[in-house]
Amino acid sequence: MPKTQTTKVPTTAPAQRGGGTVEREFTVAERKQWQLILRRFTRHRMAMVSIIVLVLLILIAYVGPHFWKYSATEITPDHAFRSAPNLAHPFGTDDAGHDYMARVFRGTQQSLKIAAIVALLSTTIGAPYGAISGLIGGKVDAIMMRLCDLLLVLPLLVVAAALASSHSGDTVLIVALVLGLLGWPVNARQVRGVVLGLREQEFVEAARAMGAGTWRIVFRHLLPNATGTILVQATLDIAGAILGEAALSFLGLGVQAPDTSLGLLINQARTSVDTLPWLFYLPGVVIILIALTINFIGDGLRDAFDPRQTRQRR
Amino acid sequence: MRSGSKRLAGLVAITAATLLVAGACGTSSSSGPGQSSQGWSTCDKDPNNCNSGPTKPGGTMLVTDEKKITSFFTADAASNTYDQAQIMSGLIPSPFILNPDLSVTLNKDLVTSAELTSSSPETVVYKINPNAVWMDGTPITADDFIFNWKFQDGKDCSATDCPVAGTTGYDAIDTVTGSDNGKTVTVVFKTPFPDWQALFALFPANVAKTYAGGDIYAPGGLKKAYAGFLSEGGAVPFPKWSGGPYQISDYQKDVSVTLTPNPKWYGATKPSLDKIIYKIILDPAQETEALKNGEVNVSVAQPDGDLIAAVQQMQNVNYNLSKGPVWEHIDLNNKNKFLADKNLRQAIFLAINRQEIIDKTVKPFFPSAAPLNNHNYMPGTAGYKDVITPTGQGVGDDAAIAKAKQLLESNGYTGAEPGGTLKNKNGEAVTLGFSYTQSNKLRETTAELVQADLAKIGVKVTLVPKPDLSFLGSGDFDMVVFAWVGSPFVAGSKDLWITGGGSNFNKYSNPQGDTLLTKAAQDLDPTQEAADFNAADEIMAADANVLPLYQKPVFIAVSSQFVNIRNNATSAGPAYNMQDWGLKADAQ
Amino acid sequence: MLVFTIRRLIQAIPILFGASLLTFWLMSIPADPVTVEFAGRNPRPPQGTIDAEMHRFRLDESFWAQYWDWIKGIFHGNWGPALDKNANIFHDMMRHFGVTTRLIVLALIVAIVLAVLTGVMSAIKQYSVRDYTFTFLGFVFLSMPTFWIAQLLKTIAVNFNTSTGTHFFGTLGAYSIPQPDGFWNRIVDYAGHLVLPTISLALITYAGLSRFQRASMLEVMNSDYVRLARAKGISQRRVLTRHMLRTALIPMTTATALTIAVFFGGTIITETVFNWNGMGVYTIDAISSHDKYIVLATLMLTGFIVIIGNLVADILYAVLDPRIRYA
Repeated sequence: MPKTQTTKVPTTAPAQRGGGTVEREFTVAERKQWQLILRRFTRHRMAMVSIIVLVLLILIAYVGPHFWKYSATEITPDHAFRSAPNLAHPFGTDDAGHDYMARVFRGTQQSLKIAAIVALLSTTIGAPYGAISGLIGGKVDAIMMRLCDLLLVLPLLVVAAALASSHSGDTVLIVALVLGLLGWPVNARQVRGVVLGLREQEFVEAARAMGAGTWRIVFRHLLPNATGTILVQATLDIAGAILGEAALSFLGLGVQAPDTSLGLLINQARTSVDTLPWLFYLPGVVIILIALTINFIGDGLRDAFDPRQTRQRR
Repeated sequence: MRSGSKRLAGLVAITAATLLVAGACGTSSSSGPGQSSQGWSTCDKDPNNCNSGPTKPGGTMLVTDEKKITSFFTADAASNTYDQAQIMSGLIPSPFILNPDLSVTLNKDLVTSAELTSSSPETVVYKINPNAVWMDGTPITADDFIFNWKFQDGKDCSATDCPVAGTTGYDAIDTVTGSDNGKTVTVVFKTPFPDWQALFALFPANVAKTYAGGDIYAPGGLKKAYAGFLSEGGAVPFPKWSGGPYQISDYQKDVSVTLTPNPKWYGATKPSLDKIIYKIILDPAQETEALKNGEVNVSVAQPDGDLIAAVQQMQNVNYNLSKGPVWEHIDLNNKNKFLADKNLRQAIFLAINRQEIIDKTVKPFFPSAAPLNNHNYMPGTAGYKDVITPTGQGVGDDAAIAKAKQLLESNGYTGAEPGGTLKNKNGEAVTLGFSYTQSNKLRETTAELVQADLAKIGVKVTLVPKPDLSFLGSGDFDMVVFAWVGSPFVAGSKDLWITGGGSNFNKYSNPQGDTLLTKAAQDLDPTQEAADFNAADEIMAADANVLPLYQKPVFIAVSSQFVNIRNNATSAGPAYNMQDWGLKADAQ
Repeated sequence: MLVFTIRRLIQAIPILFGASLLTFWLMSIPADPVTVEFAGRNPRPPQGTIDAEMHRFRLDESFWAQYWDWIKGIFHGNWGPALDKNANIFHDMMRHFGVTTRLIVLALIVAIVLAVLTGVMSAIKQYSVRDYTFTFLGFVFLSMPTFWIAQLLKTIAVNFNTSTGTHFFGTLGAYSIPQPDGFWNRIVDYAGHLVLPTISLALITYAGLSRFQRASMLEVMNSDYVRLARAKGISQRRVLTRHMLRTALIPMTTATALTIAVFFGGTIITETVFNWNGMGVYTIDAISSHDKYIVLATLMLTGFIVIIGNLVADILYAVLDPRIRYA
C-alpha cells in the first residue's frame, strides 16, 4: 500500500522572510485530514458493508409502505389470522389480522425515528456541555459533572413510567425524550475527556491569547477536534436507543399501542414464541441488523479517527 | 475472509435454529376442537363433574399463583385478591359453595342446614355440623360467627382499625346469637339482605382471642385481633390455624406456599395429596413454559390464542375454557357533553357490531363465545332474561346503521354518513375518546373495531390507551371497555347502576330504575329479585348506558395425572373442592 | 487521593438526595397507589377503608410533608409504607439485593474471562479469520436485545429438556420447588437454574468488554517497549504474558467497575424472563403498582452503587496510570 504523500517538493528558491508564498512548479497535492480519515474508513470492510445494509434497510422501511398494499393498522380484508408467512403475506399475519410486513415496516420507521432523535439530543446537548465543562475546569467543572451524575443515577424506568402515564399522546416522542435526556451525560463525559487532553495544547492557548471567548473556543476549536469521539459516541447512542426502546417496550413502558415499534412488536409476540415464531423473530432480526450495522460503522469510525490501533492490513 | 467468518456464524445459527424449530413444529392455526382438550370432552356439558375420578393417596401438586402474597388475611382490603383467596380456601370454611355451573349449594361439611326461617325480619338459622372443629381442637361455634360479623360490620371496629374489603351484608345484621352449645346460630337482619348465602367465610374466634390478648370485644380488642390476623404473612410467617381440609406448612416469601392436609379435618372427603405447593410466578407469559417443562401442574392464566395453541400441543396436559360471571362491556360516560344525549348513546350502541368484535377477539380460541344480553344474570341461570335484543343494540348491520342514522337525523344531528362528520345541534363535531388498558391486545382490537363502526355514523373515535383502570373513579373517560366480575349473588349489582352508586362510574341516573333497583336489592325471594332487576335492566338498556359484550372465558390447564380439579369460573375458583384433588388412581 | 475520595463521597450525598426528590416528584405524577389498587373492584371497598389506606400512605399530606416524613423515617430505619402491609422495605430490598448479587457475580466472572480471552486472541492475530469471527460474534451479541437472547436461550433449553427427557435446565427461579433431596442434587439443581440467566447476562456484557480489551491490547502491542522486547528476541509468549497482559488489563479494571455499576440496573429483564426474585423484579413491580417508597429505596441503593462504581473506576484509573493526577 503506497504511503500517503504529504511532502511538497520545492523547485524554486525558498520564500523571502517576512511572508509571501512559496512558488512551486509542480507539487504533489497534500491530502487533507478528512480524506485520510475517509480512506481509513473505507478500508474497514464490515463498516462499508454495514453502511450499504443500513441504507437499504432505511429505504425499505420508508419507501416500502408506499408500494405495499396493506397498511399497518388495517385488519386485512381476507380475514387471515395468525397465518404463517406465505405469498399473500410475506411476513404472515398476527393475532388481530394485521399484515405483519406492514407492521414491521412501521415499527422500523418508529424505532429509527427514536434512535435518530436520541442521538441528536444526546450529541447536541452532551458534546458542548462536556467541552465547556472540560475547558473551564475547576469548581464549575465539578458542579457540572455532578449534575451529570445526578442524571445518570435517576432510574430510566421511573422517568419513563411517569411520563408514559401522564401523556398518552405521542409515545414515540416521549420514549425518545426520555432516552435522550437521560443519555446525554455519557456524551458529555466522553467529550470532556477529550477536551481535558486538548486544552493543554498550544492552539487553545493561542486562541485565548487572541481574545477568543469560551464559546468560540468550544465550537471552533475543541469540538471539531473531538469529532471522532463525538461521532463514535453518536453511533453508540443510536445502537443504545434501539435496544433501549426495545427494553422499555418489553417492560410496558415504551411505545404504546396503537402506535408500534420493533420493541413493542416483539413484546406483543412474547407469548407466541412457540406458536407463531415469525411474530417474535422477524422484528428481532431487524433490531439486530440495525444495531449490528451501526456498531460496525462506529467501529469503522473509531479505526478511521484513531490510527494508533491500525497496522498495515494484509 | 468475509465468507470465513460468516460461514462460522452461519453454522452456529443453523444449529440454534434447528433446536428452536424442533420444538415449534405443530399446528399454529386456532381451529382446534371445542373449548376443552380431548381428555376432558364431558366438561362442557357437565362442568360440576369435569375430570372426576377415584384417587390414590400421595402426590404433590404444583399450582401457579400470579400475585405476590401480602398477608393471608383475605378479609383485609389490600389482601383480598383472587390468588390469596384460592390458597385460603383450603383453610377457611364457608356455609355455601359456588359450583362450576354457577349454582350455589350448601356446604354439608360445615353446616347440616342453613335456612331462611323468616322474611320479616329476615332471619337465617345455621346448624353447624357437630364434628366441625378448628385444627387446634376448638369446635366451630356461634362465637366464630359473632366474631366475623363484628369485625366486618363497619361499626364495632372503625375503618382505620379494621380496613376490611367490604362490610356489605354484615352491616345489615341486627343480632347473631348462639344456642345448643353454640352449634345453632340465629342471624337476624335489620334490613333485608338477599345475598346472605355469601356471608360467613369464617376466621377463627379463638385465634382472634389470642391475638386480642383476652376479650375480643373489650375496647381495642377487635383492633388487636385484626392486626394479629393481618400480621400472618409478616411477623407471623403464616396462619397456624385451619378449619378446612388443608393447613399451611411453609411459606417462602415471594416464592411459594406449601399446604399439607389438616389432621383434624372433619369433612366427608379426606385429602389424598401429600402436598399442594402454590408457586408464585409473576409473569403470566412464563406459565406456559413452566407447564410444558413440568415445573407447574395447574395454571389458570388469562387465555388467549397463543396460550390455547401452546397447551393444545402439550402431551400430558388437559385444559378447559368455561364461561364465567366475568363479563366484558362498553361504557358511555353520561356526563360527557355529547353522551349526555340519550339519542346519541342509543345510536352508538346500534352501530356497534358485537358479533364482529367477538369473532375477532375471543372466538378464535373460544368457539362458544356469544353476545351477552343481560347486565346482572348469566345465561343458564334462573334469573337470566334477554334485555338487549329487543332494543336492536349491538348488531351493527346495515339495518341498524340506517336506524341509527334516522334516530340522529330526527334529533337535530347532521352528517351521520360513513366517512362524514357527525355534528350536533350546535354544530359541534362529535369526537370521543375510547379508553382501554393498553397491555390488553383483545381490548385494543375491540377499540379499533368500535372506531371503524362509529365512523359509519360520522363519529370520530380516538384511541386512548391507559396503563391501568385508575381513571374510572374520577370519570376521566368518554367511552371505555373493561370487565366486571359478576357473581351468583346478584344483590350487590345495585351499586353499579343506581344513582350515586359507588361503582356507577358512568354517573348514570334514572329515577324509575332507582326505585326498582332499591327494591330488588332487598327482595329475599330470588324470583322476585330477578323480576325487579330485569325490569330495571330493561329501562337501562333503553337508556343505552352499558353495552354488554361477552362473558370472558376462564381457563384452566391441568397435568393429566391429577383428577377432581376442574375449572370453576366463579370467584371460588378451582380451589372450591380442594379436598377432592388427587392423583388419578391408575396414574404412574 | 484520600482527599479526592472523601470529597467525591461527600458530593455523593446531595446527588442522591437530589435524585430522590426528583424521583419522588416523578412518582407523584401518575395516579396514587391506593386508587390503582382499588380501581374497578366490585364491590367497591367501604369509603372508610379507602380513607384509612390513603392515610396510611400519607397521601393526605402535602408533597413536601410527605417527602420530609420519608427523610425523617430513614434515620429511624423506616423506609416508608408499601402496599403490602407486612412489608419492611429495607429487609425486603436487602433480600432481593442478595439474589441479584448472586446472579451478577457469576455472570461478571464469565463475562470478564470471555472478554479477556477473545479480546487478547483477537488482538494478537488482528484481521485474521479468528479476529473477524470473534468480532462479528461479539457485535452480534452486543446488538441483541436482552430479552431476545434470554427468550432464545429459554426456548432452546426447554426444547432440549423435552427432547432428551431430562429436567436439567430450570427456567423458573433460582431453584426448583420442591427442592430435591440430597446435597449434590441440590447443587445440580441450583446449577441448572443458574446456567441460563448467567449465560444471558454474560453474552451481552462480554462483547463490549471484549472490544475494550482488544483495543487496549492493540495499543500495548504497538507500543515502543513491546517492540523493543521483540527486537531483543524474546519469544512471543513471554512478551505476551510478562509484558503486555499486565498493562493491557489495566483499563479492564476500570471497565469492570463501571460494568458492575450498570449491571445492577440492568438485570431487570433477565430476572423477569427467568423469574428470579431480584432487585430488578422488585423495582419494576413497585413501579407498575405505583408503590413509590419501594422505588425510592431501590433508587437510593442502586444510585449509591453507581456512584461508588464510578468513583472506584476513577480511582483505579489514577492509581494504575501514573500519568493521571487528581488535584
